[in-house]
Amino acid sequence: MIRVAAVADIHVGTDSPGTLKPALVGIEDKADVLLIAGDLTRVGAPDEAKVLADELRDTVVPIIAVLGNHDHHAGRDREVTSIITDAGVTMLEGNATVVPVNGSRLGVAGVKGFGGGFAGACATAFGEPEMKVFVEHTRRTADQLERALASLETDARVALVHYAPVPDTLEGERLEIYPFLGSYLLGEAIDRGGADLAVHGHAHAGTEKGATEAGVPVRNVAMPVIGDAYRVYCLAGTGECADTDQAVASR
Amino acid sequence: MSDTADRYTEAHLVDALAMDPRFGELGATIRIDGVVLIIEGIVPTEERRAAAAVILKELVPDAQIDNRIVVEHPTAPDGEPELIS
Repeated sequence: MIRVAAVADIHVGTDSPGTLKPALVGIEDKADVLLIAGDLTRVGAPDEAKVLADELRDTVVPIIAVLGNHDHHAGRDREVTSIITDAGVTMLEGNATVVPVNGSRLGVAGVKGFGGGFAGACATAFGEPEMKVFVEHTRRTADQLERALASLETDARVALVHYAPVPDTLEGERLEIYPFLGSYLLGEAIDRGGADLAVHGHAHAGTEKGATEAGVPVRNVAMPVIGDAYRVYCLAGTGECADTDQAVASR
Repeated sequence: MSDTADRYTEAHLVDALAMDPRFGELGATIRIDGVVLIIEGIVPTEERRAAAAVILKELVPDAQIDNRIVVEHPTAPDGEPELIS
């Protein structure tokens, strides 16, 4: 088994030293890798990224992350990415990485994604230039995700996005804001590129479990949703799921 | 203040809170009840919870702030992992 820990929306600020690190102690006994699905910081300030880097630096398992909308707010996303990368975190944006795990290979394709809504109630790149820019940004990130997933020849593949690829995991959010929470283009990209699991965040009032149209399990791991520092998912492979054999089977 | 004006004010205050780097969270909700501003949401630190009240008091000095924001600290999970098959 490949044990994937995942969380999103940790929103680390300059007021956060010491809040995350204690919860990550011993994660290596529960998981082989930690994925962080965006909104790493409160407003995307380099000082916040430095706090996060300190919180993550001693974590034993590999960490892979994407940025979220909060990480772009200050317009210093490149600095934020650089600081977190220097702490040993693999930052993805439209690309993929491979992690060896217990004799297996885990592929993770990551992108921030964007909004636009879901089939039957979504934005179209029509009319004003601003609308076209909005939708084209989503389409571009979805295309990147599909290509990154398709490029992976690994034992298991995970799609790591910030915005929601399906509406299932938004249940609990107000319907009016669905178009700002995700896009069907991301779900379509996951189905076309192929994945065993997709994790996202961004929807704090949503629900954890959903699936794409083709049945790929989707998990909303926003911290307010899962209520913990991370959730662990076991992907099919060799070996035991964890130090327990009572993992919950689900799709 | 009319109910209609209250709804506009609530929306502007949510925006102002989100864009203030002392708070910087999008998920808060604000409700005006007479002279009371009721704010709800979930944040990861006590500092951010306190900042919400400070910012609202700066924006609406005459208001009473009913700060119902909850602080949730991350903790390691103690449940079983989920098998994805």
